[in-house]
Amino acid sequence: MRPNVYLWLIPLLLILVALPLVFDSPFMLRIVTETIMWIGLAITWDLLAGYTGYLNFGHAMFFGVGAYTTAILMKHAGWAFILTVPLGGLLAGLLALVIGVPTLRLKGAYFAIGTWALALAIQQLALILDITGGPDGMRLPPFLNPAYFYFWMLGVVAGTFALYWVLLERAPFGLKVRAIREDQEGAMALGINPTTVKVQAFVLSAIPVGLMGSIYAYWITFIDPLSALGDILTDQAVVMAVVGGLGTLIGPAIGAVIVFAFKTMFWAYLSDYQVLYLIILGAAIALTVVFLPNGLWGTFMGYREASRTFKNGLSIRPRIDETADTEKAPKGEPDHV
Amino acid sequence: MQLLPQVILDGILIGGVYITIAIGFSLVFGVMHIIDFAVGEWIMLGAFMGYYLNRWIGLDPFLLLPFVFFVFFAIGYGLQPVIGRVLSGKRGNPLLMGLVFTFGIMLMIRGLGLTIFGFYSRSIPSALASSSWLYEKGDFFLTVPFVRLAGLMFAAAITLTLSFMLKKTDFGTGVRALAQHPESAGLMGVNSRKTNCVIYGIYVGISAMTGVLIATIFSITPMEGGRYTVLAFFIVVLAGMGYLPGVPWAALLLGLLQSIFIVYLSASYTLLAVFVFLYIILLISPKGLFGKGW
Repeated sequence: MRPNVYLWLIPLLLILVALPLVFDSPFMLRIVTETIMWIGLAITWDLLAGYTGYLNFGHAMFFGVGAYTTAILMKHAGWAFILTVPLGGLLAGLLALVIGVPTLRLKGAYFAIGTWALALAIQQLALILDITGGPDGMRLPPFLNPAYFYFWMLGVVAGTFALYWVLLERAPFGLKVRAIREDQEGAMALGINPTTVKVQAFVLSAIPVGLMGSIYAYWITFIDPLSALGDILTDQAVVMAVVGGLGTLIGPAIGAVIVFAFKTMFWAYLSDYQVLYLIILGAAIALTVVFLPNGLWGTFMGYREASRTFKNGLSIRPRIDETADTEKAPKGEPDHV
Repeated sequence: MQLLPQVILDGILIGGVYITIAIGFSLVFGVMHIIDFAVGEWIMLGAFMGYYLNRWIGLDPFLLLPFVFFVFFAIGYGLQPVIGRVLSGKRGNPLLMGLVFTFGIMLMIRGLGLTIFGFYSRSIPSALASSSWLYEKGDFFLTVPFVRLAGLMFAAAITLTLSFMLKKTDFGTGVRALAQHPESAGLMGVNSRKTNCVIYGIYVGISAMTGVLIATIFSITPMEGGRYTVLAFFIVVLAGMGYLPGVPWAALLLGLLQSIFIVYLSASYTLLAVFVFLYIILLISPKGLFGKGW
């Protein structure tokens, strides 16, 4: 609920829109496009994990559905790219709707394992089927215009971010999903239908991922079950969201930028030591979880809040177990005097 | 149909190895409610330790098992306090934090394994590997490889030891109390920190020993850890999470399923069937086949 933080994003968006016009380097543009894609993957994952409290370990399946929709329709049916993108998002949303109703009944670890198993099943299916090209993957006709894909990706992710901001920070929907995260029975007692809200959140987190998958397929022009459906996609999104800070919109975005920048630098300058990347990434995750459980952004905001209240001389938030009487009663004096 | 007895026997023998993959994992989940993504990586590390010990000392892998167990028991014992810190209720969503933490550990171990051991596949030679027992009567024949039989016997021994420990010893009673209600167990004098450390150590030790077995029976590469994590998840969900007596049956079922699929259908359908089956089981009966999971 801090609009001043989000206001900073408007100039950032303007800079991003102007970037390809002033800055003519396909390599850098490609990296920025991919960074934006990872921001999208991290915030959509966080909608379900951080806000609603459901760990979706099969996020990659929506990405793969979008990617394969575009690839199959463009290659086998000769559709135009512009038509396949909305369809990719729609199919991902439909998949989320169909599997969400039964799967979201599961709680905690069961939901995590269930979505994970389903994503792996879909990956296996893509490996077996003929229409997806099996393990060889699919090649799409190349379209060499980095700025075109940059604007597509930026449009989808910025739109998602704005929609999420309105829904989660401004509209009652954000309060509903948080209520379900904190206490599902309590939310039901307040008249919230948890199933509906959870399925809504699931579909909302799936559609943008489907769109991004569609764009990704035509942008990279090659997809296979490993790159479009592999659990490395989910894993990286999880890592980014956790490093940045769960349950916020900006946190996962910052985490995505940091982790992806690190990965790119590492692969660009130390590609001989690719395996080291796994060790460093693993260590970074483990250390973040142990020492900064709120993530970078959460910790930063925590400090900011603490220093602000300290400056204003206010006490830190009233605690629930503190009643009004305890504050009024003079300290150190027995009651009966 | 002539193959069927052999297929069933193979399934049971493979299932034996699967028991040890999942039993420690199930125990840890039952007591600490950790889902450890790193289970396959402990298996991988154990396998490589067995491989190098076998090369340096020259002992048979089955004789190396106790040594591997103690080394990894110590590692697990040392690691548990960190996990306990991550899981302590003070921070939000301990389940996610535990998952993400073990996920980080998994990446680290896999990276270390690839750095130190390289990408090649290794297997441990054993004196038992070359011999097998053949039964033949007309059309009917059975081959029982001794290594696999030894693996099944090892799994049975581990299962029986664990069940004896949990049911007959004071320590086991403490563990079961801790699994039921940590606060009450603490009030009754169970040292939860130490018990958790020991349980986690036992789990890591069993997983590492399983790795030695797997490297003796099959072979292993540093990339393969994830495969065994998948299998462990599958067995534990099928058995009911944290319900130990279900593990052997679920493991044998998986072994049979796999062996039948490989022979009568295509091997590429095996994993698809495993994942679809896992998903359906979760939807229909999240508490496992026996309905007794946590």
